[in-house]
Order: sequence, then C-alpha cells, then structure tokens
Amino acid sequence: MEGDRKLLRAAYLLLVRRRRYPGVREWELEKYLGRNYREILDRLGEELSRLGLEIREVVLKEGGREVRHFVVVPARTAVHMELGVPPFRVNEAAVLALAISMILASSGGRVKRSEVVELAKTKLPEYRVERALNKFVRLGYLKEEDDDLLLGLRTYLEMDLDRLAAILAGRAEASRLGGDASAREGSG
Amino acid sequence: MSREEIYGRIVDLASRVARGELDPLEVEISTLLERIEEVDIERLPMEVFRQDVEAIHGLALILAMQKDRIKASLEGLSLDALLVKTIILSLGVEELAGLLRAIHRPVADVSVMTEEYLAEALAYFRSVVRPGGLASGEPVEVEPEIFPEEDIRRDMEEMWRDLLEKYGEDWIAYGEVVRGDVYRAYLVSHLVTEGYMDMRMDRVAGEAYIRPLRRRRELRNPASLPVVVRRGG
Repeated sequence: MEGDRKLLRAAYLLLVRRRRYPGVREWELEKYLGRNYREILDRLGEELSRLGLEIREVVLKEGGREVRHFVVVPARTAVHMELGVPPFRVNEAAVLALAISMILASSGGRVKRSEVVELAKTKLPEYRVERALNKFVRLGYLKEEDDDLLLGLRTYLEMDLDRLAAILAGRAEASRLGGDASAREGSG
Repeated sequence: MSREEIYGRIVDLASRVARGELDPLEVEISTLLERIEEVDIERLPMEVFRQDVEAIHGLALILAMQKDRIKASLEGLSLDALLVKTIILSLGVEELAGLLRAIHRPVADVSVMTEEYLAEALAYFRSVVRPGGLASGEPVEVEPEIFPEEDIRRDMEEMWRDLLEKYGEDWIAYGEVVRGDVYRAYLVSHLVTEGYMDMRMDRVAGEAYIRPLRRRRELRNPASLPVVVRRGG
C-alpha cells in the first residue's frame, strides 16, 4: 500500500538521524513523501502519540528565508517530566539556561560572550563557565559569531523557548508585584 | 548632512541593529526612507549608486527586525534584558538548571553510523595536536613530562596543606581543585594513591570529588579511577 510505505518513510526520515542535525526539513519531506506530506505526518503523529511522542515543527531563518524543521520530541507527559533530565551536569545546565535567557532577552538575538561570562561568574568559577560555553557551541546549542553568542540550531529544536519566555515573564511580573516568583511557575 | 553621510549612517544603523547594539524599534524608518526617496537615482554616479543599494538593503534588514520584534511582543515573548539579568542574579545554580529541565524536550532519534560521521571522526582525529605533532594514524610513543621528584614532593605537600586549611576534611569538586591543570591533576593522583586524599565518583552527576585526610590512610583493594582533564575547554 502506497500510504503505508509513505508512513514508514516518514518514520524513517524523522527518527533515523542521517546528518549532523536531527529530524528532517520540509524540502526532504516534499521530496520523499510528496506535496501532501502533512497528511502523512498527521497519521504518523497519531501513531507516535500512543508512545508518548509528538512531532514538533520549528520554523527557522536560514540565509534570509524561512526553513521548516520537523523533529520528534517527548510529549509533555508525566513520563517526560519524571525522566526527562537533560544530559548535562547541573553546572553546565545552569550556564546554558543563563545564556539562552540572555540571548532571548537581547534585542538582536545575540549577546556578547563576555557579558554571559560576567553574569555566570557570579555563580560559578570562570573556567567552568568558559568550558560549558565551549561545549555548548561545539554541540550546536549555541553559535558564536565574532565575540557574540547566538542560539544554535539544537536550542531551537530541543528547547521550548516559548515556555522559557513565559517562565521568565512570570518571574518578572512576580518580582514587579513583590511576590514570590517560585509560587507562580516552578523552575523544575 | 550630505547624501554620502546619510547612506553611511543608514548602513551603520543597520549593522548596529544586526549586532544587537540598537533596538530596531528605535530607528525611524520612514524619515530615512524619505531622505533616500529624494535622491535622483538616474543621475547617481556608480560609486554612490552602490552606497544607495547598500543603504536600502540596510533599511530592509532593520524593517525585518522591527517586524520580528513586534511579532514577539504580540506573542508576549518580549523580555526586558535588564529584568532578565536581575532574575538570573536572583536564581541559584540549581534553579537555573531546573529552568533548563523545564524547557528541554530532547529530540528522539535513532543514531546510525554513516560514512559522513566516520569521515568527520577521522578528520577530527587527524586534527588533534599531540606531543609529537599532528596525529598520523600510526601509533606513536609519547614521552611523559618529567618533573623533578623533589618538586613533586614539595608541591604535593603544599597542595595537601592548602586544601586541609581551606576545606578541612570536606569533599571538594575535583575540577575546582585541578582547574584544568594537568600538573595539579598529577599531584592529586599521587596524593590519592599514597592515601593523603580520598576520592569518590558521583556516577549520576558525572562529577568526581576529593577530600584531604589529616591522617594518611593505608589503601586496601585500591582501584584505578580514570578522570579526564580537559585543557582549554
């Protein structure tokens, strides 16, 4: 059956990593599944949801045009909340959260690396901060241009930036009102 | 302001906006456009024509970033940089890490080995600078760095006394003591082997910890514990 074959193709494209970046781009789906690829993705999404997974679509700007990426991520289930610990050490995770937050709040989507280091130094030794930043640039979570840090492809694909913005905005609102931020939105 | 100065100013504004040094919404696009519109393009010399094109491209970039900012504001994602810094300052390391836990949605994928990956691995291996120069693919014997015995003894004692004075017999993160310095890692290794320090691994966090011991301890059933020391990240 043509439909089933396309479903298997979609699963393969989305789940089997063949390049440096995870998931699949829109043009690949169009090439291998045809123009009606969204119907196939909907069917695959139904199958994946039974396993607690979902297909996530991320639109990114690449070379002045918008490119759609599709990846499979865990659905926000109790299992994900229970087991979904990032594969980083606590110190590294803190540095990445700090860098992403600063970049997200910057006007041009970029922030001086030295500014990130300065702020992170208030919490961790400088050599740890530098090492963590180097690691995240290497892994593609951050991008370095000149002396600036930008969000890398993996951050866009793996991090729920809307949620981060909501958490930070919630904390900002709470601090403005003089209340306890942690009561509004848990950080864990 | 001359025509060339206006073009230069627009290009400068666009690059400052692109670098994040200037809020795109602070740029009055309409005023700048009016100044450009006054120019009679057909009579422009070629050199100035190029500046005109660069300026229009700069304005288009600013306009695109204004659109992104407005879109982000409408979606409620607009964050104030200073406020975010204040929030970050108020959070501890654990809380920041918790923030990342809350937003991380790891991509599910099945890893496979491809020719491309193998080629990348080989290129990386060949680019690693080793004591004998670039790796050639052939096994090489590495000459160990030789430190004078008396210097090592003196530095070991100094490190042991220093740590005891600062931390007593409390556990300390290995990385904080070694600070990426291979010689310090070497000293720690000797102190542990000779029973002047205790060492443990936290397998879950992937961290190593050490603690100085006031009294030297006889080691029973010693085990090797490989610890990676990264220099320069």
